[in-house]
Amino acid sequence: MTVRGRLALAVLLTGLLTAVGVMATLALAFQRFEHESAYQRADAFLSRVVAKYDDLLDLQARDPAAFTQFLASLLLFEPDSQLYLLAADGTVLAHTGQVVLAPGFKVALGPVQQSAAAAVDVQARKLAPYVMGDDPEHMDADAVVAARALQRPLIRASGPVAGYLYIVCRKPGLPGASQALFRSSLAGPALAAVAALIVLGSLLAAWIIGTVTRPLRVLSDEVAAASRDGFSAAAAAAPQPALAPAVTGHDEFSRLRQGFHAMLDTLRVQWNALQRMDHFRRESVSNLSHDLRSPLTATVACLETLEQRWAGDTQRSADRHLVQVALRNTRNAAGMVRSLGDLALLDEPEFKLKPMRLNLAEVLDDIALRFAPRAQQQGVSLRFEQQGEALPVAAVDVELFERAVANLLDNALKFTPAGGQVLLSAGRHDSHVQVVVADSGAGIAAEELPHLFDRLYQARQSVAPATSDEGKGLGLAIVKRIVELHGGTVDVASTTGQGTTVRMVLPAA
Amino acid sequence: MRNGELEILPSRREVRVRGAALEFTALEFDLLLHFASHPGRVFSRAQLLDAVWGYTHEGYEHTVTTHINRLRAKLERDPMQPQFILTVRGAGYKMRDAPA
Repeated sequence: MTVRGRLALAVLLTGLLTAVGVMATLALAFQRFEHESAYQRADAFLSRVVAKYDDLLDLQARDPAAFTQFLASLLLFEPDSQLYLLAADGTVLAHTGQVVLAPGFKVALGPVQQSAAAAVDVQARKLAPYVMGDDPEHMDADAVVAARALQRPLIRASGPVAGYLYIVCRKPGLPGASQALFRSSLAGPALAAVAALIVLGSLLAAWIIGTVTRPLRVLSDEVAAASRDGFSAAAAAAPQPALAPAVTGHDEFSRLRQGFHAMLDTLRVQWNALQRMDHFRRESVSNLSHDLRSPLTATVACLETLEQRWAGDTQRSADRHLVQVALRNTRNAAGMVRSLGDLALLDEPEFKLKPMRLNLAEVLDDIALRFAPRAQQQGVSLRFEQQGEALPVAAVDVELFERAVANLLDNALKFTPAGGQVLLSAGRHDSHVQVVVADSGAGIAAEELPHLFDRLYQARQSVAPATSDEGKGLGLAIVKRIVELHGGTVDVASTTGQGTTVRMVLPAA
Repeated sequence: MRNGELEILPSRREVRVRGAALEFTALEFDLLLHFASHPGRVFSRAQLLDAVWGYTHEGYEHTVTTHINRLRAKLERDPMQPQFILTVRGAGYKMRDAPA
């Protein structure tokens, strides 16, 4: 869940809890208020009754039936209440109401005594604003009750309590103050006020959250943009997009954004420095390669002259052998220098292909023709074959493509003995063109295969073996680079003793 | 000289195809002229390199491919199905025989 979402949820829950708390408090307060009012009314009523009739117990003893009627008449102005005459132990002697009580039914004395005591004792009254006690008609729940102690007239001033006058206040129908609360005139405005508070509070919270997290959203957009565009020259050169207004301010988010931009700037500077160094290195290699060509060419020329001069001289055969070794190694070095220079050129980011839409079958046929004399001299059969009917048309830089194929053919012819064959083929398959150079030569060891296109690896293996003229060298690295520049792939399969197959795949045009 | 819809005026170094004049670079024109002067005769890239460019050094044959394809792009209706400058597999290229 987003930070904004979590903040909003937290605020909403807090608001809800507050609202619920407030409403519960209100409900409880209202209920308490109701109980207090009821109790005070009941208490005042009892005071009046007891003040007027001081011989209630006697009256009841003399004529119980009439007494019950008398009790009922007292309640004329006290609806929702029931009166009970209790003996000192809580036994019900007489009562109003329709419910028939078992004889000897007792009411809990605790509340009775508490209420009776409160009538005379100011301290006690302060402690109990109202009293809850038994309701004989509904024994499952307490009701507000009040009571007065009664005495026999003759022993009035002192003496034990002879009985109680007990009143139970209960609203008929569903119990609970909650109904009253909802029906009262307080409910409407209160609910409206709470609802309004919730709505206003939510809007305010939403606005605050939005304002606070906006810098965070802007920052995360910037981070996303930076990670997408990277440090490519285009992105670095482009002016800052509109979503990055001046980063001012000192709060945590602003500092974070400032830090991020500072980091980006540092990285950009470092990246540019790195690219310049890389370019400088490539240029150095290219220059070096160029400069080395003349001395190497001169050396090769001198060595060739010596070799020729001593061709027929049997006395010089040992010397001649030395010269041949020197010649081989120098040619190898010259080849490497040339390849390094070529690779440096191909690696330049500004290097542009000059592609032309061509039928590759024609080009390959021509290349086979070009290598035909050499193949014939070696006793190796070389031919080109088109695979399939569709013309293998692709957009290629002719010079580079030919160089790549020439490098592959060079290798193939170098490692295929007399009597072997080299097959050049091209075919179109859906959206790409496949060019294959397959030879039946010595093959390449399995452990060498992964390193074939690795220029560093090849450079280290470049000590010219006796059989090779220029070594495998960097020819394949150049092929790979050329194929990559054309948006294609190259792979090699080989079995020692059987042959090698190099396959180039290029997008068709 | 004429070869079907192809018309070449060597002295003015002008070329017309189906009546419309076409522009060629110097090398392109020389190559076309060489082909047109020997209709039906096959030339390898090496031979063309020697005859038109004056090079004998191997390694520049790709430039012949480039120029042949440029000629085709200008002359032919569909360069991939050429009518004038034809490919002879295993041998090279030739200009078609002039239609009677």
